[in-house]
Amino acid sequence: MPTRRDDPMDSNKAHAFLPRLAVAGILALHASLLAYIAATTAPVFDEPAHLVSGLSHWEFGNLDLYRVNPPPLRMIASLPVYLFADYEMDWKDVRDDPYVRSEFKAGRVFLRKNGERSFRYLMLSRMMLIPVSCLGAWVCFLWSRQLYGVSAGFVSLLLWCFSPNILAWGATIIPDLSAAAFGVMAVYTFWRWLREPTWKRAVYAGLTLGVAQLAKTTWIILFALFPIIWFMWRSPRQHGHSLAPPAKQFAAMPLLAICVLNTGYAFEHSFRRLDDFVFISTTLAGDNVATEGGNRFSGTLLGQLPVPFPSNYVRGIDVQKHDFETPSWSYLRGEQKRGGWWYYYLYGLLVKTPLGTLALLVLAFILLASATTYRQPWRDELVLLLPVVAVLVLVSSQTAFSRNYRYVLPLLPFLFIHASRLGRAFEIDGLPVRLASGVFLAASVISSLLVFPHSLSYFNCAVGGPIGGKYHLLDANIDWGQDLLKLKRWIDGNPEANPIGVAYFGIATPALAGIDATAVPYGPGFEYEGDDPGPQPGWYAVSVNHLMGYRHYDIDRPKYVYLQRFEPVATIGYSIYVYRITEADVAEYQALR
Amino acid sequence: MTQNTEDVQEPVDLSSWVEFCCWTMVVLAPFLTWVNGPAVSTDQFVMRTAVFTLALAGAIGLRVGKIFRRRRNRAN
Repeated sequence: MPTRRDDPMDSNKAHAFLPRLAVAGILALHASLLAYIAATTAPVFDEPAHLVSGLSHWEFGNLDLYRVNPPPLRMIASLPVYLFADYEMDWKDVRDDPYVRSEFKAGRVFLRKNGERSFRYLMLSRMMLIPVSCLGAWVCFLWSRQLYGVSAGFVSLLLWCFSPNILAWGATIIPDLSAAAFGVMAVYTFWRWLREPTWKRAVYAGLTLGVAQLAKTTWIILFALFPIIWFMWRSPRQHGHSLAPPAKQFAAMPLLAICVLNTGYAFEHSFRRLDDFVFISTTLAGDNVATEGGNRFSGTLLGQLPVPFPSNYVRGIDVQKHDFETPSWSYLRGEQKRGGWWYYYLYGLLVKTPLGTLALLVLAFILLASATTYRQPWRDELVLLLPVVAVLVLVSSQTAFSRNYRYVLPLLPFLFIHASRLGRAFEIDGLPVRLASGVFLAASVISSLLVFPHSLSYFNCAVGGPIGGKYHLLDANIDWGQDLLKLKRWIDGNPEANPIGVAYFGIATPALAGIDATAVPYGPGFEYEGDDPGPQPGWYAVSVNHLMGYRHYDIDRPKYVYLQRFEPVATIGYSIYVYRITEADVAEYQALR
Repeated sequence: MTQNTEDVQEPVDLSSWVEFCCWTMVVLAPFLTWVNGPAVSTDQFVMRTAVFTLALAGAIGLRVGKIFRRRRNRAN
């Protein structure tokens, strides 16, 4: 007589339950890793500006601050602070001047007014956006599973959940990670509609397209990309796709998306005439833009048309364009210049992606080209790869400055899903691919975890890891002020390092973290009249950006590069180097000069 | 080839591949630690130790489990 233990239905239920449990477990672990970074790192450069902008939206009901990014994410992030925290803020210097990014000054004021409590407020706001990263991981799993099988789903899930770049930015309220999550969700739902066009799926696709617009303006490219993809799907039918995606359903999507976008801005000044705007970028204002701004559409037929987007959304794109038209200092592989490089983000992908992940991507491309077992119909592959190309071309084309690798975060989930096709090897007879995939995946995961929780400073071992990374990329790619609290802990644990000079790169100040810091002497040629140039005996903590002579602002000078001649006694995270300079060190330095 | 549907598919003996990945992590950890240099914070040191320990424990545990299952199957 068969026992309950022999019941095949129980066996099937267990087999269906285990993958779900594994997914939940991996997502929970991912959320825990993010929460740990969120709780233990200092605010990075732009975060206070995002937080205070969100608070201003709640307090005053206007959405002017930080208009280059849509407001909903920072409103969600700042909501617990607005509701439950007894914060202080002085808004008197905040003004709506198109040429002045008041949000950064407001962020500094907020930090000054709230002192050490600011760190707790930031931590609270960071926790609000952790579910967004989990959502992105979940979408990657779903899409990979549908394309290539459940093992592929786990490959993309693991790639997302342990990616050092996802961990770094998912633990902040900077919107790039959210843009990655909502962008992949928008394209995924669009793809599902393409495969089985129904009104329900069209509505989901329209809604998620709108939500992606509310994450970051980068995804405005989807309004151009989706028609291209749709048009390709309407070409001669092939087996497996019986229905041509109907034009009516497709037309409804952007309309829905625009409704969602406007709702996200509470329809603030929507449908304003195009010639009513005062633009500051050359692209929109014209070549002879006056100091008060201009509008190249004034007096044209186009200028009379109402713009179906919120006013601050349009002005945000204009401000962002103006920023990208203004050459700023950038650093790449030891070279600094005004202006950027078109290949900067490609280079960033090569040095800040784990080698295991890069190997998975290369192998995936090889199999895509050579093995039908690892390939979907070309239309499905196109939906996956076109956003990668589009985002890369968009960011790479902005060469006024090159600073932020995080601008390419939105293309990462598509690369993870592309790489996940190797998971097919676990379900078919493909031992060499299984072996390679297993090694590369394990290498990706462990490479990231060995640098955790300093994921923001991650560089792969081809460039010497985070220690060697400073010779390749600087600024937000290695040091954005995240290790200030760790510096405080180090100083508390090393009382002999007192007094200590601090040259910190960040929006907060050492005093905010309770560090009683003195100045670090400027190097020879940079000292003020009457001051002794460095090196001088003492303890010094210097941010790696300053150490490398990075010019973030025009007034920055390579005042601290002389310290590169000395061996640091400690490294705080990978972004702050601590030196102990003795009299003997100074004498040796002088002798060698 | 069009992939099947949204039903969860039964993975094929993934425990062997999980064990393989664990051994890979155990082998790679020393090399990657050497490349990245010593831990720069206590929490990084704790994480490195935990990852290595869990990978080693997972690899050994899965290997031992497999041996016991084989012996039980032979006995049956």
